[in-house]
Amino acid sequence: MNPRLAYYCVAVQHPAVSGAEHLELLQLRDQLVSLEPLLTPEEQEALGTADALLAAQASQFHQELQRFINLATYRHEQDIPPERWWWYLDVLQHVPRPSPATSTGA
Amino acid sequence: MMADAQAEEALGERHAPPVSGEAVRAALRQVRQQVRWRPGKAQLHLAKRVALGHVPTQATLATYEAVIQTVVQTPTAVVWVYHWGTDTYPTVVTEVAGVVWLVMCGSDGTMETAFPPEDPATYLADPRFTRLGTMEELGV
Repeated sequence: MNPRLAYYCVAVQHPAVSGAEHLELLQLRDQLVSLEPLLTPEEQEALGTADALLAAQASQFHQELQRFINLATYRHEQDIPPERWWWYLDVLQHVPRPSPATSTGA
Repeated sequence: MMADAQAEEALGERHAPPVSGEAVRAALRQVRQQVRWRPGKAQLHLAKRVALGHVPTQATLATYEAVIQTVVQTPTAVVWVYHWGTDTYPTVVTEVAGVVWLVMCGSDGTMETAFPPEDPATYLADPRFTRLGTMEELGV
């Protein structure tokens, strides 16, 4: 597996460490954008799984990140588009997550 | 005094808020004396270091803290400060066994994190970081 992707896949499993490390995680996710077209199907699946985990734990990640950065201000300063959704964890934490019942269409 | 002057100059260049050199020294001396983690965080940080292969699988908290001590005991290690609002995070960076490690603490010396950044130059290029000088220059 691509080493940066492997790092990302592990790092998203640790939301309760310092926000100082999460800043590196978000920078790393930026770098993976350019690598995405080169990833194998297995690596793309791993990236998708890791992304889903990051989004699912947005509140925990943001809790630590807010001790180091105001994501809204940073997005404004850096003109970060919604496509780089990982810089929107402060917003994502408020998005209701589908329950198993709704996700199956029941 | 010379170290303080250099620190002030560095701060001015980066347009960061003023930070007390003595406060940074006190925080780093606290880390040297004893690594104190935020409540409940020590094992979480160790688990991540093991998972990423930064320390051996069999490493204990003592193993991890030995790396931290190596960093903060290195006279040529470079001291930075991360500024966020009214908070400051003294940060020490140096190589340990060929790998660049970063140790960050709070202004009271409580351990914030210690890890080897994937890309130290990019990480430290964040304008919220201000370079103060080496441990030796700062008289830590």
